[in-house]
Amino acid sequence: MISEAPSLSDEALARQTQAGSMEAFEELVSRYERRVYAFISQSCRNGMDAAEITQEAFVKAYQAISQFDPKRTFAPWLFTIARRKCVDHFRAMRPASDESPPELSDTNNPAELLAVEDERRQLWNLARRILPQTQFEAIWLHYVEDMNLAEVAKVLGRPQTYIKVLLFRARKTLAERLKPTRANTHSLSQTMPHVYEIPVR
Amino acid sequence: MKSPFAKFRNSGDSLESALRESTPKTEFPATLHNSIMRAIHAVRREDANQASGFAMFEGFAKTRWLPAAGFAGLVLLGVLIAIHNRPERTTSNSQALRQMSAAFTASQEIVDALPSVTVGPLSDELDKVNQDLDRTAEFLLATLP
Repeated sequence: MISEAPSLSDEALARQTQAGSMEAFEELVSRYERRVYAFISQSCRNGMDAAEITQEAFVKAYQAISQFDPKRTFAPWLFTIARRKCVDHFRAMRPASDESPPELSDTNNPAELLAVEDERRQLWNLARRILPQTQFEAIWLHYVEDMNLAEVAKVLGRPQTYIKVLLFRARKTLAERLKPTRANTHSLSQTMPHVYEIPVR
Repeated sequence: MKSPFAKFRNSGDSLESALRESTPKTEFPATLHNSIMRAIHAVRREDANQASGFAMFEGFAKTRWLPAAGFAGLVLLGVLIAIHNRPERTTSNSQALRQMSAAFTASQEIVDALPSVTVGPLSDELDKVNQDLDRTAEFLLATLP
């Protein structure tokens, strides 16, 4: 790997890759492999597929690096490729992908079911289970990858206003599912009323 | 039963901050980095092989066409020499012309030698045609302003 790589921006590394530097691209791989893998494994819901798709995404990125405009941000470009690879993969394996994700045994009381495991992990597990694919991808890119609306819109290939709506709906769905049942003494809607009106950056 | 999200409620965090802070830990396969780099190196090698293969083909094509180019040069030289030797042909052409004109002269002599009875009607027709042409010319000249 190149010694001055940590000080270089992703876009500078991409420019060096365009000039033929394999070391620069390896640095980019090191920076993004975990993030891309996490995004794909959350979307694909299969560890084996995620590894394969991550590899394909980086190979595709390397082959298409000449098309990358270094004036733009590298992350959305790479995640766009990763997402497309994921979509292609599931299109090719449609029978398997049609299997709906395992549902919670008691959908009326998700909080009770989630209690046994770590709440932080469970929040995203719940999101993955109850949200449509695009909504899940939107909140992942926005909250985990810290992308702004424009960047999320680029990755998902949708207008910014659509992404805004997606994020709102995702949060609303999550908040509604996190609402305890009547039997439950806790009331999330009372303690967290602001979850319904979260401003979007 | 204690809600798993009690922590968020107690701290007064919003769902938004909960989503931000609760990034699930994904176990990254230890061998994945190497397999990614191996795949990229393989693609790079493949591209390089294709490029070198094309370069080799180009070189081969160039050397292969070299004798052909020499042969074409020789042919061109032959054509140039042939053009250079054209005056001789011109002479032969002029001889042919002379022969042709001699043939025409001979045919005129034959016509002259024919009895007037044979060529009379034809010469009368020719005179008439000539007269028509003269009149037409006169008419056209008269109509001019």
